[in-house]
Amino acid sequence: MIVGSALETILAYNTLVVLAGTMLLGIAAGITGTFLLLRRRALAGDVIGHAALPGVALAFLIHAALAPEAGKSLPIMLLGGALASGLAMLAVMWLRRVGRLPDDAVLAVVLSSFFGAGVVLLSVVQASPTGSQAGLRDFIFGQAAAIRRSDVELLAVIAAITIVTSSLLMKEWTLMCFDEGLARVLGYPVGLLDLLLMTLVVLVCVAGMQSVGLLLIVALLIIPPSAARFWSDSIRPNIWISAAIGAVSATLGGVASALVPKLSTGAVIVVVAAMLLLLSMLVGAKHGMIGYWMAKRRLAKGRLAAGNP
Amino acid sequence: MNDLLVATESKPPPLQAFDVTIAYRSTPVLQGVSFSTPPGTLTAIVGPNGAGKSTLIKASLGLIAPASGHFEFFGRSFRDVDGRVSYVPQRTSVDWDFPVTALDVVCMGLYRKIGWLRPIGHRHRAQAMEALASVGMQDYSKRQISQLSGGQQQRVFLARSLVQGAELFLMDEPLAGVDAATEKTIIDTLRGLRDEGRTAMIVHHDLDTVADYFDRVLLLNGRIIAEGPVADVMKPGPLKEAYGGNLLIFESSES
Repeated sequence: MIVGSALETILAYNTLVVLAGTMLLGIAAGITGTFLLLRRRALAGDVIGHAALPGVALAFLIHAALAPEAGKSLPIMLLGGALASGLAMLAVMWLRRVGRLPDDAVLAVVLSSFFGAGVVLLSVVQASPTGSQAGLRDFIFGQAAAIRRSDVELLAVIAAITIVTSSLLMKEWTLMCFDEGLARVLGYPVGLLDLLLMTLVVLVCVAGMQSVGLLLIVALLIIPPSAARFWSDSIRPNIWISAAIGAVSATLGGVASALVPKLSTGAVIVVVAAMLLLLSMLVGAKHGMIGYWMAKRRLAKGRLAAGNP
Repeated sequence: MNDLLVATESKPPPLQAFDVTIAYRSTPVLQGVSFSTPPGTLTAIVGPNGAGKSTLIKASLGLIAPASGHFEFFGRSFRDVDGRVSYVPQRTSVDWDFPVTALDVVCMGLYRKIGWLRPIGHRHRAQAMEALASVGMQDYSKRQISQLSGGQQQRVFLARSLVQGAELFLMDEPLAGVDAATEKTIIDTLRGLRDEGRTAMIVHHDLDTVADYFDRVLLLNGRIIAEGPVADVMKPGPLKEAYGGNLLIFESSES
């Protein structure tokens, strides 16, 4: 009977809608994450996620002050998050240009400063009369159950925009990631392509904030493409495998969170993704350890056979 | 000398530098560099380590912003080059673990012709296969690029340049660490291109082969030490100025 009621929970219309939303997010993150990884910007995804917190909190405070009776508005909070993430990326670029800091230090400085500011604002929000409605904790660790049906549409649109744009620009982004020099001599606007990629990464982070949480969103961007690399040596299969792994992780996380209400969705999604990565490392068709080990054994055997005529 | 003047007058030079200075932070790497490459020539860019050879190529492509001065391709700014220039990066600057096959890399040279937002078609793949065959790499098209030898990797990049149909080829040490067969393939291909009136500028390390392979030399060490036909540049004076005391190779071949 427990199984029956579990199925009932999953198949409820509300749950299905939320699951569809998280699945689209997983696909979007898997695709954009592939390019983020290939452009060696994995940590930039982490900065973008963390840096959204002060923006989300500030947007809530401003909205609450201007329209106290309106309650929390997801689009406004996400807009705030996106603006803060964008600002953080500008800060990274500026520090790289003027400072004498190494690259990893620049990322660490910006990530921690923005997140620190976010935690400060968070305590301000929680001290305010309407603070408990903000549900900012859900933004940090992710709680798919907190997604309202009216919000799913917005998230689905963001995910769909990301998926369509990345599919159309696959060729151009591959070239930019692999060989910026050639992209430039062929006349591609590399700066614009780069900006577009980072904008989509910000969109994915912002859309994933509720289900995965801003602390762990980087995992959904980086783990699926890392796992995909063990299955194929060509770019297009890599992208689709990464999208599939992202979708499976996000959906399973959503299911778990629907069944166990207190469970943090983001954490489950990341754990599932990490397990899929481990599995890929073991049995991946191209670079899996087991295949490698078997090939080595075959070679050794062949040599033995050849050595003893 | 007369031919050269006629050539420069009738056709704008493939690459021209106008008083270019490039600095990393506050340290100048190249100072006051001006030159004009005549069309239909093979030029070697030569100089000691740290002379600014790779920097010069990267700056001409806009990968590094010059502190002052500018470059012109075919008499126009870089933005209007429209695929007439092709570029082979230094081996060490390529991410060889990138998930692309030899054929994928060659196809990149066709992206501009394929156009925005469109997938790579059968026709384009066939064209890329032809280019791979012309450098003897047709049997390796499906290999991921890290599974090729150094020489094979250089041939793949050469095929990518060929398929692009460029008129100016900029190459950063294509002959570094390649086997004799690859060196011959690359040089033969470059000579064929020159005979069709195309131009190549190549960062080169082996002073012994400069006279065999190239028509012109750009001798660098933080600035242009000498520039012109091989016979005018590859002399003890300018070489000593560029390389300092380390002239053993040259002096022994001179005697």
